[in-house]
Amino acid sequence: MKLRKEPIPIRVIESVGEKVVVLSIGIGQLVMLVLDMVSRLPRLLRQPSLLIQQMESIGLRSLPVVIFASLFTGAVSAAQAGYQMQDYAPLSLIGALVGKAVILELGPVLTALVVAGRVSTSIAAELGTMRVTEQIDALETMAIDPIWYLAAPRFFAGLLMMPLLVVASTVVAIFGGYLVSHIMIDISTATFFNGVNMLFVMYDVVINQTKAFIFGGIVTLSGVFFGYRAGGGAEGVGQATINAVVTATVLILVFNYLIAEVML
Amino acid sequence: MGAAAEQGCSICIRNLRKYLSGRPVLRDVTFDVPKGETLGIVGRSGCGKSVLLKHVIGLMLPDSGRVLIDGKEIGLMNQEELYATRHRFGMLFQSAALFDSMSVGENVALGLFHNTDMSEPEIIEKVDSCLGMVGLHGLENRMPSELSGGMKKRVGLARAISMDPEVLLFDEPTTGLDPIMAAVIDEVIADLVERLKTTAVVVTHDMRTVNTICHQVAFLHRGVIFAEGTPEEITRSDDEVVAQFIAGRADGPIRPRM
Repeated sequence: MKLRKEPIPIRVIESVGEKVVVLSIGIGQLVMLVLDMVSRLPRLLRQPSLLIQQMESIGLRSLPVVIFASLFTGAVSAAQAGYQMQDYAPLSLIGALVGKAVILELGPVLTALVVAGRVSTSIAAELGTMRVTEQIDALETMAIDPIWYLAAPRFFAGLLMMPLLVVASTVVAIFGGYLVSHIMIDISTATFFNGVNMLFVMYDVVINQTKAFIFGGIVTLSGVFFGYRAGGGAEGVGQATINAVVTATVLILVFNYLIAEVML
Repeated sequence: MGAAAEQGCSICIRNLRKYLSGRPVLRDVTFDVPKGETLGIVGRSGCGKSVLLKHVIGLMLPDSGRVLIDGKEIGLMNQEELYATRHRFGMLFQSAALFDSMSVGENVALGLFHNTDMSEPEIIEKVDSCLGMVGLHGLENRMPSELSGGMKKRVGLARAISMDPEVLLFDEPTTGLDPIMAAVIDEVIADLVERLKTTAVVVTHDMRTVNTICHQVAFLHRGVIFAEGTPEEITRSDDEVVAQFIAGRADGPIRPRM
């Protein structure tokens, strides 16, 4: 116990220094975890059942909520576009605006945020519970590599399935935008899709899928990282779950900007 | 102790030191477990018994000192060597640590499925045999959440012996069980160790477990092996610290932390 308090500037420097050290250690552990998982990829591909199981759990089971969220996102973007443009621009441009916004931004970002809420939390809670109840130690004692058995299938399933989810999300969101444009704003089918086609370039799909791939890694890596190193019983698992979803959400938004800067 | 003597024992711990959160948990621990012997490690709650057991199987690495398995230092093994060594071990955790998303049968079969070339019918037969040995024949399809504490420990035991281990490690096998179930678990462990001719290390603070299944006892106190001997020798010890622990008295040289 310290009885004499250090002067405020020293305490601030100590506090910042401690946080920098903790962050540096965390980043180092994260890099090591990724390298460990990559080194298990060949064995994972030779015995793909674990990967397929996670692809179903992370990808297929996220599809309903992704479709639901995308439909309404597309719908609201068309409604907003219609409202904003009604006095200033031809409404025939709604399709162009919705298409561009959905392919470049809303499709990948919204899908990633929805999947982060579902998958990062679920992975962190599952692995965290396994950690604090010694199930991961039990795997180790049985000579079953937990990185190969638990971490790597989830990480690579995220990388593989997020691009597919984003394709589904993008298509459904544009369809949602079309429904609102057609029914509420009375724009014909041909006008809407001509608008979508007007500003469409193939490079947008490259951006869309690059974002999806990176976000897929962020979502599952956050869950695996915080779940795998959870400690301290139920409270520790709760904290790991919060850290996983908050980190995934922040990183998705940060990387969304960085990718836009680099690729646009 | 020379290298020749170290080669002759199954598990050799030499001058083990471990700090956790800046606090010395193990200061200088040295002991041997000869092949075919059962060593009981006793001591107060929180004295580092489970930490010591985790060092034996390489789940934790020492800050200094050595853990030797048949003369090979566990801290110097690569992952392949470590896993090859662990194939020879079975461990029962204090909480049983059953995989709660798997059935009883899948829990017992997991190691066999991933670490052996056994066919599915052979694995099913082996799982049946292991569950039979712990008196849980026919419970393959139950989930861990449907089992009592004693049954979970027995499933943990069945899982620990599924790979025909040469060394069995038990972490508090009877903690949290009623006296009758604790006696049942003690008998099952004694019977398994005898039948499988394994080397075993039992971490416990239950002296009845020690008297039932251990050949030798090591009393861990303040980070060192404070006393060693047969269960009878430890029970009859006139050292005040050992005597207080054996008798379970509140007053004596050991001051309980409140």
